[in-house]
Amino acid sequence: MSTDTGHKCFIEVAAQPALVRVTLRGDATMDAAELVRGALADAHARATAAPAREVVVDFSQLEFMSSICLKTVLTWLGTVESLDPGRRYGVRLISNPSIPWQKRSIHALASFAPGLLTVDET
Amino acid sequence: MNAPPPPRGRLASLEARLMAVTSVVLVLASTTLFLRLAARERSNLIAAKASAATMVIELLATELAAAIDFGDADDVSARLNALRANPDIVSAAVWPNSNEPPTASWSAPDAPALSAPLPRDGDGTTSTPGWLIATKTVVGPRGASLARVRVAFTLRGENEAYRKNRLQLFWMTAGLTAATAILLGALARRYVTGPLRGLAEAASALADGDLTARVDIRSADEIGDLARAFNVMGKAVAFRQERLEREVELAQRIQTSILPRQPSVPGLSCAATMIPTAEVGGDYYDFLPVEGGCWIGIGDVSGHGLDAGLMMLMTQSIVASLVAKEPAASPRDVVCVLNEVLFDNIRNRLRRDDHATLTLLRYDRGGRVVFAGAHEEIIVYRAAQGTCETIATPGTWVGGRRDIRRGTVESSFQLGPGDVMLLHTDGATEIRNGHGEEFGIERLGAELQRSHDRPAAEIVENLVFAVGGWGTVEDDVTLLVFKCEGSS
Repeated sequence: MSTDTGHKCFIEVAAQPALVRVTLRGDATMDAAELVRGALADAHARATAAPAREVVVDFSQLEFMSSICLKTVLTWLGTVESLDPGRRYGVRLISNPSIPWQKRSIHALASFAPGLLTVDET
Repeated sequence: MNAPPPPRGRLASLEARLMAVTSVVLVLASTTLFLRLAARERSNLIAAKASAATMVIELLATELAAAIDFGDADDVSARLNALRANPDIVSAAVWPNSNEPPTASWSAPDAPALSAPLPRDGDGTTSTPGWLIATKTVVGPRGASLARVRVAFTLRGENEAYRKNRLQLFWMTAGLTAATAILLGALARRYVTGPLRGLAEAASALADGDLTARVDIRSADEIGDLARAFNVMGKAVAFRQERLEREVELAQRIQTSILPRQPSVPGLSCAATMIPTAEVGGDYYDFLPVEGGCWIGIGDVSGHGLDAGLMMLMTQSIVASLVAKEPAASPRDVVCVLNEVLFDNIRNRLRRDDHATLTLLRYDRGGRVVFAGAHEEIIVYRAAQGTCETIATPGTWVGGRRDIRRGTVESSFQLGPGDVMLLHTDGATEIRNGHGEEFGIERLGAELQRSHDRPAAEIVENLVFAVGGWGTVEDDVTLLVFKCEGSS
C-alpha cells in the first residue's frame, strides 16, 4: 500500500519475508495523522497475520512529524506491547539524526517501549 | 479550505449533458418527422398528378373508341398527336388487344419508351421517379375491348415542387428543433442547473466560513427539497460553529489565564510570551518561585483543542502541588510522579491517548540549574565565551506510560553572570518560510546571541519578531528568557 498526500507525506507499507516495512517520506503534518494511523494499522494487521518477526519503520527520509502523528506512533506501540508474547513482534525505527525532529524525538519515543523497540541511525 | 474541483471535461457539467442528450433526441425525432413529412408531400403531389392523368386518359379512350371502332387509323393518330399540345405528356401509344406493334404512337425526346401493356396489367397509373404512366382499355360501344392506350406524363414539375417543399420543410424542422432545444435548455437552466449552481456556490461559501450562506429556492420539487435541506444544514453548521468557537474561547481563557504573571526571581530577570494559534494549543510554561530560587516548567501537549488545554491545566496543578510540598525536590522525582498522575487521568479517566513533552527545571540562587524530562533543547548564551550552547533534554515524554523512571534522567548545568537561558517550544523552530525551510534552533540561538545584552523582555520581543518574520505561525510559540544578573 502506498499513499501520497498531495506530495507532502508519502507512506509505503510492504511485506517482506519475516518483516513488514513502513517507509515514510516528506512532511507528516497534522493533516497526515489519519494516513499514518492507517499505515501503521495496515502494518500491524500484516505483521500479526503473517506472522512477522519485526516491523521496520523507516523515518530516515521524513523531514517533519507533528505531535499528532507522533501520538499515533505511540498508540501503535502501546497496541503492540499489549499483544500476547507469542504474537508480539519487534519494532525497529530507522532514524536520521540530522533531521531536527528526529534528533529531538526518536530517543524519547524509543524510551516508551524499551524492550520492544530498537533504533538504527543512518 | 476547499478541495480543488476535479478536472472537468467538455460534457462534465449537468447542463452540457442535458443539452447534448436533448439535442440528440430532438435531432432523431426531427429527422424522422422530416422524412415522414417529405414522403407524404411527394405522395400527395403524385396522387394529384395521377388524378389528372386518369381524367386525360379516360377522355382519350372515349375519343379513340369511335375511331378504332370505325377502323379510322388517321383519326386515331390525329387524336393521339393532339396530346402533344399538353406539355406534361411526353409519349403516348395505342395497341390492339393482341401482342402486336402499336397502331399509333409518338414520343418526345428523352421520354421513356412505352411497352405494350400485358393482359394482366390493369387500367390505372404507375409512377417512376421521373414519369407517371397511365394505362386504359379502349372499350367499344358494345362493351368489347378494342385496344389499350398508354400515356406517359412527366413528373418534372412535381419533382421541382417537391424539392422546393422539401427544402422549406427541412428549414422549418431544423428551426423548430433549434427553438425547442433552446427552450428546453433555458428551462433546464432555470429549474435544474441554475438552482444546483446556486446550491454549489452556497455550499462553497459555507465551507469557506460564511455561516450566513443560504439559498433562495422555493420550488416544491426535489431541488426545492434539497435547497431546504441545505438551509437547515447551514443553520446547524452555524450553530455548531458558534458553540465550538465559544468552547475554544473558553479553553483559550483557561490556557492563558493560568500562565504566570510578572515572574520575579532574585538574581534572575525573566520574560516570557506565548503566541497561541487560532485553535487552543497545548503549550505549557510556568514559573514557581520558591525559597532559594525557582521552578520552571515548559512543555507541549500532543495535539490541540480542549483536551490539550485540559492536560496543560492538570500539568500546571500537579507541578505546583508537588513543588509547594517539597521545594527542594529532585526534578526527576517530580516528573515521574507527575507522569503517574497524568497517565491515570488521561488514560483511565479521560480515556484519551495524549502525551506531553515536558522539562522541569529547578533554578538555585547560585546559578545551578537541575532539570529532567524530555522537551526541546535548552539554549544558553554564555557571556564568558560570547557564544550560544544547546543543552539536550534527554528522557521521555509524560502521560504515555505509567512508569517512566527507567527513561527519565536528571541533568544539570551552571549559569554565570550575564548568561541568558532560552526555553522554547517547537512552534518557534518548526515555523517555515515560503521555501519550506524551518527557522531552526541555530537561527534561534543566533538571534539570542545578537540580542543577549538587552533586557529579558526586549530579547523576547526580538525573538518573536525574528520568528514571526520567518513565516506563518501554525503552532503555538512559547519563548522564555532568563537572564542572570551581573556581568561576566
